[in-house]
Amino acid sequence: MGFDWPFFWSRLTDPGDLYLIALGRTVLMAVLAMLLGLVIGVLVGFGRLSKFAPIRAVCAFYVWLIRGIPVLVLLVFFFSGLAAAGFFRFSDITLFGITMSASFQAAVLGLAIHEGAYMAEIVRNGIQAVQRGQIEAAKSLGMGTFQLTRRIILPQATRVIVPPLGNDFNHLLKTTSLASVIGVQEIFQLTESMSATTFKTFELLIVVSITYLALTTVWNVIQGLIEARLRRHERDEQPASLTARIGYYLWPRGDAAMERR
Amino acid sequence: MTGADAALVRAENVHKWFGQNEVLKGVSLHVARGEVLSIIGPSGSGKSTFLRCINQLETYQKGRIHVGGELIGFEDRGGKLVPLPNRRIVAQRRNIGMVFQQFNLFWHMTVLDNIIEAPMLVLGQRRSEAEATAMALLDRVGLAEKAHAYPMKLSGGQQQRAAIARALAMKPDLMLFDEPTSALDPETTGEVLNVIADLASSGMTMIVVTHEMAFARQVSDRVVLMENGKVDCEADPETFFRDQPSARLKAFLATIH
Ligand SMILES: Nc1ncnc2c1ncn2[C@@H]1O[C@H](COP(=O)(O)OP(=O)(O)O)[C@@H](O)[C@H]1O
Ligand SMILES: [Mg+2]
Repeated sequence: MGFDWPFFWSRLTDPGDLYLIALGRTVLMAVLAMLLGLVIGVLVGFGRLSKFAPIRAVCAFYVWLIRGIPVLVLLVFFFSGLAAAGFFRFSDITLFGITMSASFQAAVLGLAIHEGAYMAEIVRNGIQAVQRGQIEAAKSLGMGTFQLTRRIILPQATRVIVPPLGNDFNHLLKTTSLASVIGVQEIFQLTESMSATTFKTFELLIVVSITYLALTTVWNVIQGLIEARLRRHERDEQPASLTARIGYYLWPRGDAAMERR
Repeated sequence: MTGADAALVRAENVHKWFGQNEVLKGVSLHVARGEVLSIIGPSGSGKSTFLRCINQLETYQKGRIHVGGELIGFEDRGGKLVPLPNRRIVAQRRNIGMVFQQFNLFWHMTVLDNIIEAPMLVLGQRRSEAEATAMALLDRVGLAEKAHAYPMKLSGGQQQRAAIARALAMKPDLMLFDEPTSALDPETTGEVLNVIADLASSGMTMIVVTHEMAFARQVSDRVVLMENGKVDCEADPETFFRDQPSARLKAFLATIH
């Protein structure tokens, strides 16, 4: 027994191609699910505030339904459930020489549909946070609905939406591990199959935990940068957050641009 | 009705309900081109609602408002009023500027961006053209050095002057002011009133809802008392404040002196 330090260090410092590919899959899955989820979230978020009652009802139903079902169940449902019922079977797709496996597609879709429901609520809150006076001012200047949505409502809502959205992505980076259940070869699945052959379960689990930590830490810094940029209008009034300050060191050009204002 | 001497704004028997609550009970007012009309009156008498009907932030339900000869918000089909599509209402607002009690500057944009936004987006001006106009307007309201500041960093008086510049950048025929100094400290009220007075003397047609009686007396061509959804009385400022030609006006002025 005992902790196998040499094995642990070699896994950590030289993870090997297989692990790096799995890491790429984890990140790609999270990014694609986030982007797709964001599209769903914006559509459904606006839909929940629609003038038309049927649209409001459909969007509220979607949010209620998806938020009431565990992600794991959703993933298995999309991968095996639909196929078992004969509705739809994902098959591998090769695009630009990269093959996306059926399980990967099902995972992205399941995660996106899950994320979309949470993002819809975040987006709706953001839109509702835009003050009526801002919209009235835009109208009084002759802006049409589309113009004032694009130039006033969306940018202002974005500033409210981005922090919780960033937290959601942090969460999503880790939720991707559930895709191992439907056979996506991401880092957690690889960890499990390696521990089955090496019996170094403890060491490998620490390595994969450190990997997730590294991913979320990198994301925290990026999130801090984005939020600092979006808070230009209130700089001086509020001290920069810790992540934002880390951001300034990593991105001095952005800092200089902010100082000029 | 056309011609240079025609009224720019003609409101006839305007009624407005919020649910069961009749807020405007037949308001009739004319404002000639180049004229400055001040509206005073107790809170809740419908002053804001009337202004907001002129640029269709609220829809009136009976009567007619014409601006520049054009019926606002409706089409007259043989005496029946049919609401205009939103696109037409949006177009009608272009020629009417509005200044709000709470300034309502777009907080996510610098002062300059606030001013050039609508001219570029709505009027299709080039950035260089819009910025030149904006800088001239900022100079006029004494804010040239604040062009690149964000609204949150400005005092209330500075924000309101920027908001006036923003409305003027659309080159409106008519300016509506809804209690432009009510949210301001006494120290900054003066600087905003000076800008409005300067605008009045430049020949802009304006309707100003205000509680600043000295200002109304000095700057207006005509003053109106609104009470309980109706125009109680109107007169030139001298007559209005000296003779106080209605019992309600006497009572109202007594409450604020
Ligand atoms: N959006 C609204 N919905 C319902 N009632 C309103 C609304 N806006 C104004 N009112 C009511 O209309 C009346 C007149 O308001 P307002 O025009 O703001 O008066 P003033 O500007 O003279 O103080 C008030 O009784 C007010 O409560
Ligand atoms: Mg009012």
